[in-house]
Amino acid sequence: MKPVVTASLNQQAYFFEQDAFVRLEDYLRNANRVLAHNPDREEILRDLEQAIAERCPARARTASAVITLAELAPILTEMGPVTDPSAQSQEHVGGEPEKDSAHAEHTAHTGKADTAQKHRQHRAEYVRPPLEQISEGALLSGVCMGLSRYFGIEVSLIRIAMVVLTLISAGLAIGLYLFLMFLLPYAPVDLDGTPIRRWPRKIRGWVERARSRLCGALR
Amino acid sequence: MLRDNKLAPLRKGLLEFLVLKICSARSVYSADILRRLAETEFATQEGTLYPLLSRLRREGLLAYEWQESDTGPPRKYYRLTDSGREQVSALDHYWDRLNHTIANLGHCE
Repeated sequence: MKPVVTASLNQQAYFFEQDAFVRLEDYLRNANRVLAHNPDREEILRDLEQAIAERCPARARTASAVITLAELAPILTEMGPVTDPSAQSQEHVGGEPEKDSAHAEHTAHTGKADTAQKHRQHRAEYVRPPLEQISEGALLSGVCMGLSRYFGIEVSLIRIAMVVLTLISAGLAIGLYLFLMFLLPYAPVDLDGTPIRRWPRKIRGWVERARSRLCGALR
Repeated sequence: MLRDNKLAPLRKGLLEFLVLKICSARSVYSADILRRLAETEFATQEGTLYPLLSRLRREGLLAYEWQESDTGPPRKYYRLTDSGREQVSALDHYWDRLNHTIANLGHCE
């Protein structure tokens, strides 16, 4: 028996197996993040949802058939990673005068929000990556991998620190790990198929299920 | 032989031009654009195309209208606007000039 999640893709209901749903959520969450500063974000996300829905097996549209991860994964691979063309041209700030003037025009058209965005991008040279758990390369749940990326410290050093902390704090660090494991969101799974070890995959499944159950209970 | 990573940025830059060209003949659905591109070395995916289409629309080069579909919800059909048409012919001229320049530079040796 497998849990099934209902999801609305552009206002049509589809049934997904739990792991397929997690993958879909990852894809859309990642798209949302890539397009964070795109003025058309909502519309692009709707178009992406629509395209995914259209690629889902026909039977899923008519009957209450469930979409599996094996069916969804190739669909998302075909969709490809979401890129933001406007963000790309702004990455080369100062390099190409033509692009800069094009962007200035663009700003004039779209007004305040875009101007604010431009300022932000000029100022923020380095953006700290989000504090998340990373399943790829993880040993348990991915907390140490996440901390490693966030602080820019080699992951083995973080792991050693965790072990030392556990020893000197009489196990308190294990509690800290569990706390972070349930609190920190998971980074979207790399769709290129970077392998995830067996245990991190299992733990992620448990944590996500526990979270959705908790959300259900609170509602 | 040319390494592909030298050509990839070139293709990426030209994608916008090609999408405009595809929309210039008649109004097209995004899947049609992908299909047309799939036959060429410019094959791309929704994840790249959709943000590009919406940028071109925001720049006033493309417009879309909704059309009913037999198989699902209505679809967006994209077509060139007047300024999109101007852009395509300007790009065509520029492309000719580039070709000319490249050919001439070759002859100098």
